Amino acid sequence: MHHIGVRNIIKNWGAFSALKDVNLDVREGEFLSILGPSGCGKSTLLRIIAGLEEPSGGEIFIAGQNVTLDPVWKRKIGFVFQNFALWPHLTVFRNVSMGLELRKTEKAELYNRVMEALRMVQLEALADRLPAQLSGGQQQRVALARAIVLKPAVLLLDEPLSALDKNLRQDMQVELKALQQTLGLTTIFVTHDQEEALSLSDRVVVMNKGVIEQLGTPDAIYNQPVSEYVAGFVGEACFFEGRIEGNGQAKTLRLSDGTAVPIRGNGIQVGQSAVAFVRPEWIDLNKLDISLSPGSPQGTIERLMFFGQSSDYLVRLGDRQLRVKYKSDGPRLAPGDTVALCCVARVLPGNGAAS
Amino acid sequence: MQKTLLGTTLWYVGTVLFYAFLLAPLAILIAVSFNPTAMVFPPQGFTLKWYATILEKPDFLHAAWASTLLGIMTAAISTGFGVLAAIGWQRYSGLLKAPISSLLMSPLFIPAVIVALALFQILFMLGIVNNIWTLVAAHVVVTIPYPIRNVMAQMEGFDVRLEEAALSVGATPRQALWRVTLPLLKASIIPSLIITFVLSWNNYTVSVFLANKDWTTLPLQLRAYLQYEYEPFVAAMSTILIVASVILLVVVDRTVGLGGVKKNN
Ligand SMILES: Nc1ncnc2c1ncn2[C@@H]1O[C@H](COP(=O)(O)OP(=O)(O)OP(=O)(O)O)[C@@H](O)[C@H]1O
Ligand SMILES: [Mg+2]
Repeated sequence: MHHIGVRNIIKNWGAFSALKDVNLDVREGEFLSILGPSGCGKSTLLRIIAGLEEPSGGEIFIAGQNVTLDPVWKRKIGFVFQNFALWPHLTVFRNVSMGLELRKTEKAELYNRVMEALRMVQLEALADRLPAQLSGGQQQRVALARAIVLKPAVLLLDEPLSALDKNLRQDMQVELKALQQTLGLTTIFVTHDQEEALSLSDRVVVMNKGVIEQLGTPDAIYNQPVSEYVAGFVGEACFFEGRIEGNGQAKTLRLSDGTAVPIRGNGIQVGQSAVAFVRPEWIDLNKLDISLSPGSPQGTIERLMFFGQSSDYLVRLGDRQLRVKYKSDGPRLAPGDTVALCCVARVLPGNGAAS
Repeated sequence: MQKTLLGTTLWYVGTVLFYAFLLAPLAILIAVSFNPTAMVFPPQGFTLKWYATILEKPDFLHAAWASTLLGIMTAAISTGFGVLAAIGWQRYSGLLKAPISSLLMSPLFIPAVIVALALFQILFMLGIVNNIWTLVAAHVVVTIPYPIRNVMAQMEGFDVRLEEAALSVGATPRQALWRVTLPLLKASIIPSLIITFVLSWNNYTVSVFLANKDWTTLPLQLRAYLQYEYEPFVAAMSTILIVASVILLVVVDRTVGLGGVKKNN
């Protein structure tokens, strides 16, 4: 049962078309992320769903109702803005209570509901402060409390965490997800941070230049992207182009330099040309016995990059550089070592051409 | 060191002279208002009798009342329109944006006497007799650039998402205006009210063309009176005006800050 329906939404700014026929169903209680680079139309789509922007064509449904012509204040939505947009002249309490005041909520109930919302975001103690007297993380919590106090049908968030520093952002991700699950809120979360999208969402939408490239679970988006664009956007990827060869089960991609990479994927046909990709953690580097993997692409170690919990080798492969996850059970390699790349690359459908 | 000392001294001397030149006449006026003997300086004693005589001149009391009422109406209407114009102007993004702004500011660059004359001419041609509304309209025309400029300056840094946030919690656009936009513009609205009131209260040029007998303002009354005689009670009257203006300015400064008059935020 879908809860939010986006049907054939088009948005033009003059001659520029920001959204080109977007269709999307969001399920009840689902946490859905919209992921894409700057300017691809994420905010525009979210604002159209909220009613803050008028579509040039198409329809929006919320809980089975066609709300396309409803103004924002009639749609039952909670919206969290990127810069929080707290009202600077009102206290935390009044920021959260405004929506209830407008609905002429009875005093005792208003107080209880505001305090309950503030408790959920752990801010009861700061109810009398002004927004300017709060840290970024606290402001973000107020914005969240303001959106959920009205018990909206859907929660829409436009890059709500991007103004926070990394540690705080990770804490807030956990809190946000917990809150969303407790309340069972249908949530659309806009971000350009792929890790954030993958870790929080039930499903992810990847957008590119006003169209949806792929909609799927985080696992499907990461491991089975439908295009080179998606594969490259949601994670580190190295692409190989070649012709499919093989007999029986084992198929390989023969590259132009004569080396071959084992491949997997759906609908692979021998003789076709194709594009395949590998992720840094799919690759094993093999130094001691290059003959173990005859015909594999070979590269040279350039350096080891240390990140704390993990490290990457930077490997030069012809005229490009790729990342390979360092594995503690693998060989220890030094810059200058020649290595063979052992991996199974995943073939992109439809020659991997971006749609 | 020598040079800076000299510079500083010159700076102080200059400043003192400047203020002396500006304020000395006012000081003399105030001193004269307490002087028992008419129009001599230095004063020969101290009296409040000139202040008492004001109460015996109904013309002046009426004029003060007229000026006050006119000032209040002008301030309310001029600031009201100014706020609406500034908000509208900020949202409008068409080709006429720059010309409209110049048009709204034009009363600043045209001598008030010409504006007044033009209005007088039009009203005369239309056969409209001077009344309180023609006077208010004229005062609004010459004062409106100030609220527009003040509010526009503040609107420049205004984040429309604050209004959108209000809409998202269920406010209609009108409720968003009253609960979010206007309270946030307070820092430019209150100074605008005071400035337009003071400008209207002090205005002579426009009133002289457009006032009628029932709405003789205080500056007109003073001028009319001075044509025939000069008594220290005029100084007493002026002292009251000066003190009232100073009190008004201090009140604004203490509440919203005079900074708001110039640059807002
Ligand atoms: N009011 C507007 N007038 C004209 N063009 C606009 C307007 N708002 C957005 N656009 C254009 O529409 C496109 C999509 O904008 P949008 O804000 O949806 O991008 P986004 O995906 O949210 O990007 P970001 O990650 O930078 O926030 C952009 O190219 C932008 O320039
Ligand atoms: Mg955006």
